[in-house]
Amino acid sequence: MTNSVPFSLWWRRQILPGFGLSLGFTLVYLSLIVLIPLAALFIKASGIGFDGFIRTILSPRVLAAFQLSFSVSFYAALVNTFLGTILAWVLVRYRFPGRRFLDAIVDFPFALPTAVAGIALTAIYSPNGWIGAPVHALTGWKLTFTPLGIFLALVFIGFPFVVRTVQPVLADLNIEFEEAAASLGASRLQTIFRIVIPELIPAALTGFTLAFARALGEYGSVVFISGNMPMKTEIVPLLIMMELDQFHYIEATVIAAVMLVVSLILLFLINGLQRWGKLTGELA
Amino acid sequence: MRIEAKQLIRRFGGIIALDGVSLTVDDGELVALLGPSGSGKTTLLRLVAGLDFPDSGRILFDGADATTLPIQKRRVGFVFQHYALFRHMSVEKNVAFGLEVNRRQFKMGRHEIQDRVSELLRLVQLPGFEDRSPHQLSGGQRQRVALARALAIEPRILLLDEPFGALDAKVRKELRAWVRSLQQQLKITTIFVTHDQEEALELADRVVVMNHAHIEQVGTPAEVHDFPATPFVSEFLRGTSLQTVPASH
Repeated sequence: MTNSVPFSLWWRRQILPGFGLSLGFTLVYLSLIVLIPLAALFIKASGIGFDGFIRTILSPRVLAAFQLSFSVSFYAALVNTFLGTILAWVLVRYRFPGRRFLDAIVDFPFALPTAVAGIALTAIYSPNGWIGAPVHALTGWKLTFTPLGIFLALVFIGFPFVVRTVQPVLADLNIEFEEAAASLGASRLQTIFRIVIPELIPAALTGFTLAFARALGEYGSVVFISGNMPMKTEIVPLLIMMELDQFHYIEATVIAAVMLVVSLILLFLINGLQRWGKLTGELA
Repeated sequence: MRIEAKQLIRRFGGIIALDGVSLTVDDGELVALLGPSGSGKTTLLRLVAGLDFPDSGRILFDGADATTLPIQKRRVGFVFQHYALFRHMSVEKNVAFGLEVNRRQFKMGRHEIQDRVSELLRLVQLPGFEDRSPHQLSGGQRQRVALARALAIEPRILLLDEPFGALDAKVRKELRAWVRSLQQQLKITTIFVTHDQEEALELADRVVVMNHAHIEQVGTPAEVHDFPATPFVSEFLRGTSLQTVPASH
């Protein structure tokens, strides 16, 4: 046992028991459910060869779908960040009749089958729907079968993520900070911008990331409202489904693999941004 | 500045927090609001600060009506029990906050603000702490930064809500004596809230004993200690000893 000092030291420093067991368990189920299927995706995709890969990805229809998916998801997540933060503010800061009901309603998009949401949104926003008709009559805009329709659907399915990440942070934010700012002569607007918002940014950014990731993967609600016109309103997940329908398995996996890599890069970037924000926030 | 509170009434739902309270605090005086929790002492302090408004009654600052004056216009320095330092700002930014949001009023440039901040940090005995972050400071240090931040706007009155409540006994004793000497040095009208009898008797020029939304007695520490006006005061101060900090003139 003379040589085992480093080992026993390492062993004793584990204050919480069960580290080996829980890590092992986590790795096993992560591998089975997430990592192995993803690896299979890349292996399958690599079967097409470099030329085939380029041909699949750079086809105009695929490129258009990528551009549509990423841009509309980004804008929907951005709008959700503001709407969700305001809704969280209302839910936390004010007491009014129906507040609990509104609070429960927020989770609705989580629970509702997204296809149902898509059909409902399409019915309401189509040029002869309740909202779609007057909007079409007044502005000439078509809210369905356009990128705008996709945007509406993605806002619907994404906003609970922002509300539910910002809400607890706002609830924990002691009102004393705002009172202190006011006692130092800060107006309400100065207090919001200098004190409240900086405290909410990390949570809002997390909410943005979740809403964005969710929007990228969304399929059910979008297919009903978008009209699925190639080059115009065709999102990437739909394109993958269509390739699969035509038994183009390799093309489908290639598109999926690229989608995955780009999403991962974006998520890492946002994560990095968040860490950087936290660091400078603490040092500034 | 002289503060007069006249017949202040404040209710929260069905509970009455202040039931017709009147009090006068003279210019340069250090007054303690002493009482058990729920006695209305913090409510009274918040009304004077403008963090809350009375249902009826009036508050006068140097004879002028300040009852409905918003807190931003009152120029009060308020120090919270848990400091309420802005977590995402350095010590320097915290202390400078009041000067920066009122640039028009104070007419100070960046360098003047910096100089004023270092001067204030020397005053609270934290020279060179500008770049620290609040979470790097001890409780006593945070409370002194909070005091520097409140003093930055040259307040007309200083209001302290349980200022030593979250500190350990030793730091509390040191900080007490130091606040007393600082207050005498600055000659600023000061009201502080405490539920600690010894703290009130040791620090204050006058002690206001409160109970159940009423003032039971107002007097010098010796008066309330030796001649309690009501059974409650006598009971509440039983067992405390009278030891004042020698005034440092």
